[in-house]
Amino acid sequence: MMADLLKPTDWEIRALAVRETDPRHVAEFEPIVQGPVIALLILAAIGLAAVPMTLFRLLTGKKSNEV
Amino acid sequence: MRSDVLVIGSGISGAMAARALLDAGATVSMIDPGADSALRVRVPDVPFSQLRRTDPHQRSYLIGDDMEGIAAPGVKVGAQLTPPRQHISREADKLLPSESDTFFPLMAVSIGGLGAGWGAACFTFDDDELRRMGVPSEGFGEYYQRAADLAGISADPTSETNAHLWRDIARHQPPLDIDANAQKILDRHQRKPDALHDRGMTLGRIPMAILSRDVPPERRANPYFDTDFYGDVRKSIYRPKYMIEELRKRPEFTYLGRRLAMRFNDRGDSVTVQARNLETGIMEEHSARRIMLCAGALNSARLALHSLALPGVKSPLLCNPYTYLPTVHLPMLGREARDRRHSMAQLGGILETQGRKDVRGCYQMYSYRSLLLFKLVKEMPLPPALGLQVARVLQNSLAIFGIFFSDQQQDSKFLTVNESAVLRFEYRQTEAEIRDQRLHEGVFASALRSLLCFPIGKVDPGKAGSIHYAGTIPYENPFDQRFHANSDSTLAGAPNVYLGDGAPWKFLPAKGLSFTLMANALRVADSLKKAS
Repeated sequence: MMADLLKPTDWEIRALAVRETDPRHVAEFEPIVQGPVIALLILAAIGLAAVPMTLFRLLTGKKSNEV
Repeated sequence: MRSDVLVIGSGISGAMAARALLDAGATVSMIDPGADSALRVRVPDVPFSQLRRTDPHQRSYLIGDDMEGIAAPGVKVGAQLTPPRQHISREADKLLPSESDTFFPLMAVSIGGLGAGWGAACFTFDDDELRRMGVPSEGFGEYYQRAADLAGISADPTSETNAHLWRDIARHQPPLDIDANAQKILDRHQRKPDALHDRGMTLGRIPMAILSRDVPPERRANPYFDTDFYGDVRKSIYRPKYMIEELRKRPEFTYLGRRLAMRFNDRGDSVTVQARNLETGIMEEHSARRIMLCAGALNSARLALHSLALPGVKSPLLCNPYTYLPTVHLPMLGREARDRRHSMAQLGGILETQGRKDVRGCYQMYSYRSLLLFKLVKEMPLPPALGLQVARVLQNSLAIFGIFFSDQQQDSKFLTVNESAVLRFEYRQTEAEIRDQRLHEGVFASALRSLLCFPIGKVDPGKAGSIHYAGTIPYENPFDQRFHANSDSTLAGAPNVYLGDGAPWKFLPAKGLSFTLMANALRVADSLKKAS
């Protein structure tokens, strides 16, 4: 239930899909392939950043993080 | 003009049946809703990565001009269809009405039926499975070989999965290459095979109806462009539509497209079929000496129950329960993966019933490459900007395992049809079935960890999610003896109506059914010709 609350809105997903299918933005969607150590560091950093960003999103009705 | 045989449906079964009947000298007509899409041929014949960088029109086939490729929240049956495949079921709600609180099937109105979106994995059923289904096993291997010749199958004769999944089929094409993700998983398994074997599992390349060599004049080898979810430019993956296109060149074949069969009447010396012309709305009448129902198990049952005026009569319903496990394959985390790949299942195998030797589950492994990242972000409980970065990190290491389980008749799984030909489904697994499935999912997840594939969730696409349906006009109907198939695959009470799809099967093995549907349609077509 909580996980559903935290998922992106339909509007955010549509905006992301439009951007992803625009060839001018293709680099933003390429896989990150700097090796497993960098990958784990990025995932850890995202984990840390997720807490305040998620709280902010919840408090502002998910509207603060438009792509 | 009255034909010898009228085939209803153009899918996996109908295309093969029509081909076999024509080859045997019959005149054949085919009634089919025949919806099609022009989007498939709009996909450029270049590698996916190049297409993404260069094609300004990519949105039309990747997510659709009306954003139809962005499915509603949650996972549901048919959500995997990309815009160029969505014509398969677009009109189904209107043309093929159904009601249920427990079963939400994908029904096709497209030329090629559900075969227009089939994943192309090919498996053979063993003699015991055929016997449980009610299908004579003697000589069935010949039909498998004929189906392989007609569809074009690539297979690895050395794969350890063949023992369970591929009978002796002598003629086939060389195996397809597998991608980097699958190769690492297979390498690890081959170094430590006991980790899976001790759990009653096998793993290897699986036979696919994808060409690894050209088949002139029209079909070409798969170019490994990773565009297979979107385009069909080289016709490398077998689709029933290609067979229909070929048959339409023969004068003995008449394709009656954009027509929906509503009811048939077996008059003893011929059968008439009432069909609605979907362009004009006019009801037409077509007749033939015999008809073959190949409308898919659900719609063949609708047509048969409605035609025999048996509203409310129960008939069983079989559907492989299906679960998929997305996993992170650690050795691929943060690693490059070559672009050269096909998009379909890379590996597969079986899961034996714990404590026995029969096949309880059959699985296929996909990599997540040419499906777009927004679909992953949609399911993550993260702000989209962060979700996107997670998806970029994980993309090359994602290995998705879909497991199909066998299904059998139960009192709690049935369908009925009302006076207006609306199908009503009831599908509830028993407690024992659910417990057994959970047990095997646990064993499977544990085996995946031994391959360094760590599950990050479990997805239940809902009842009917496997899109494998059968058993709706069974050889033995435990609910009502008025409605069943005869042993010669004719419909009880309508001796000129043959059942060419999976409707008569009493049991549904875990292995994908499409290749057996092809072989079975050839068998029933032979039986019909012999009876003539």
